[in-house]
Amino acid sequence: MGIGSTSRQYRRPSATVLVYGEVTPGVIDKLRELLRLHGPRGLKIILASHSSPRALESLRDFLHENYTFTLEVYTSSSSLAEKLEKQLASSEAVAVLVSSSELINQVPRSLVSKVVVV
Amino acid sequence: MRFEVVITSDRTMMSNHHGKEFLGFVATGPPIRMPERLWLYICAPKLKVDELGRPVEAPYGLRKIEAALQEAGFNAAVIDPDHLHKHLDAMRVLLIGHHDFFAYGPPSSEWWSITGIEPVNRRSFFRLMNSPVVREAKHRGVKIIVGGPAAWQWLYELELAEKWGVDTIVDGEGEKVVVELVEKALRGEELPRYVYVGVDNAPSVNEIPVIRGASVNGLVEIMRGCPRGCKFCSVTLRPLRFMPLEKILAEVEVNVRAGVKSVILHSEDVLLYYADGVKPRPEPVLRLHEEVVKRIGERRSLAWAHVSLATVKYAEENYKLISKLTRELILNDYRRIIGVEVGIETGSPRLARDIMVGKSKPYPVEMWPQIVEDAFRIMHENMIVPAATVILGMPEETSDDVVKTIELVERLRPYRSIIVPMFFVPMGALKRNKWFLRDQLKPEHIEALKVMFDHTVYWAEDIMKLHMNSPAHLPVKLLLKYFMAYVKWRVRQITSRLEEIVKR
Repeated sequence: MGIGSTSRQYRRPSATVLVYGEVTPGVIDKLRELLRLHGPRGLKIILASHSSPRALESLRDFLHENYTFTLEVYTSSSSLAEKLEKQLASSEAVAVLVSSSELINQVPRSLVSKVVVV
Repeated sequence: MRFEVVITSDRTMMSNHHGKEFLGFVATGPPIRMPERLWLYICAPKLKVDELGRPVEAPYGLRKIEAALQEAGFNAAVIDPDHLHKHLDAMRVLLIGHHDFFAYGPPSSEWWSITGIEPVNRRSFFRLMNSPVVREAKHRGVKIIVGGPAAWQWLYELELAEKWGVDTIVDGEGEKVVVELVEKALRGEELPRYVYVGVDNAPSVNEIPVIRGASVNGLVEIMRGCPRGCKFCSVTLRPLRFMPLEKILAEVEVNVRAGVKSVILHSEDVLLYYADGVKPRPEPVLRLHEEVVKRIGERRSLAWAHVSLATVKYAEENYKLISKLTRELILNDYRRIIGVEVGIETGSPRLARDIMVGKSKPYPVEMWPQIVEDAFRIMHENMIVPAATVILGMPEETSDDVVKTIELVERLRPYRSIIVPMFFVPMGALKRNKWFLRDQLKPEHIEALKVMFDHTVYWAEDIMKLHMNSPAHLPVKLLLKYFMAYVKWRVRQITSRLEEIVKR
């Protein structure tokens, strides 16, 4: 083998969690639980009700606690919302966390079975 | 030729610090009693660049990202911050790395807290982000991705992330994820706001590319990760990997070809290269130095990024490894000293047991103060000059712990060294704790600050004479002398102010 690198691809997270509404302490606790369970697969978190990076503020302690698993956090944008239903086959989404039951109607129909109100 | 993917940082990072790595630390302080431009001249002079604005030397981390992207086929390069405009028309992704974006890391946060004045590195980074060229790039839709060892700081500055249009914050080893992110950005796909690169995505030794351009002061990584597990350190959270000798030598040669006048072997503990756990093995360490010295010749300087004090003691007492390395391989008429960073952190075995139980291994943690003294003596006898850190304000620290630290520092007086106090910064496994700030100082802390300052001043001139012996260094040396005289006066003032704060 030469001294150059052999390229192996980045392993994308294969478990996805969608969060609708505010990132409450209850949502954080649930995320911790999901990270313990699905962390080895890598976890993608989509903050579906937020578009600004400032939404990460409420996740800061949770993100700082993790130094083991691959984590990606997305905020929502119009293009992401359009793609959500296509990209997220229900087998990939492990949970949809909703901070208030009124928000359930915003969840794509194919993911309603994964909804947890926290 | 113009680059589609531009990698950069601010001036305090994009500099070779006059070939003296320790001068880079001056950028972590506030510009006191001196125009900021003069301060920057001391710590961060501009680098030579080619016609495209590519610097002759660049921070090692940026070089790794550049190599990973070039190997993946991207039109990417490290560009000096003063030359970004040359690539504005072609630029689609701007990658920005830093050791301390917002001066929240050690020791910047400490100088800031003590003096109340914003450090130079923070000012310099803000200037970069607010510069017309970066603003124009963003206006044209360039994706901005930030990362490096200080990525965690962005989670405290999300309003600025929004204001400056930062698309993605990357925390962790970047060689693999950067390829994925740049691909996504160029395809116009949604980027994550934040990525933490987990252990599963840390590159293996084979996946770490060889740098293609020279690194600042010839820094070359020989290991990644650390087996000691200190709670305040983030490096220890990464898997341990040893770089094969051929890879290290290839990077040394990249630097030699570029005319860099020094080599810094980088590791959390250079003496643990291919070690048996925390016990050094002489053969790989000697072979590494033999081969590196062959390539750099007589005149280039050689430094170690870090060693741990327990390894220094063990290596010398069991194998005479330190004296062999220094006397038979490294030192000569041109290389009169070897600089290295070491961590004392505390003089209290009780606190050491709590926060860094692995740091004294293979010796018991109760021996920590003795290990420090023995290692300092060994280094002094072998012309190794340590820049040592001591952390004040660790969680659970007591006044008695600080007193033990003061006593230890006093016993280190006979040994040529710099001792730098650092206020605790929540990093590594202690990331969820709070910063230690000026208002939390106790009388013992002030005494500790004074003792460490006196130690450093006592040795500073001697070290400057040995370290900056070329006539080319004369202007910087004079400025440093002036600076030291000013700091002595200023420290007396600040100490009385701190004492008043403590009394209140």
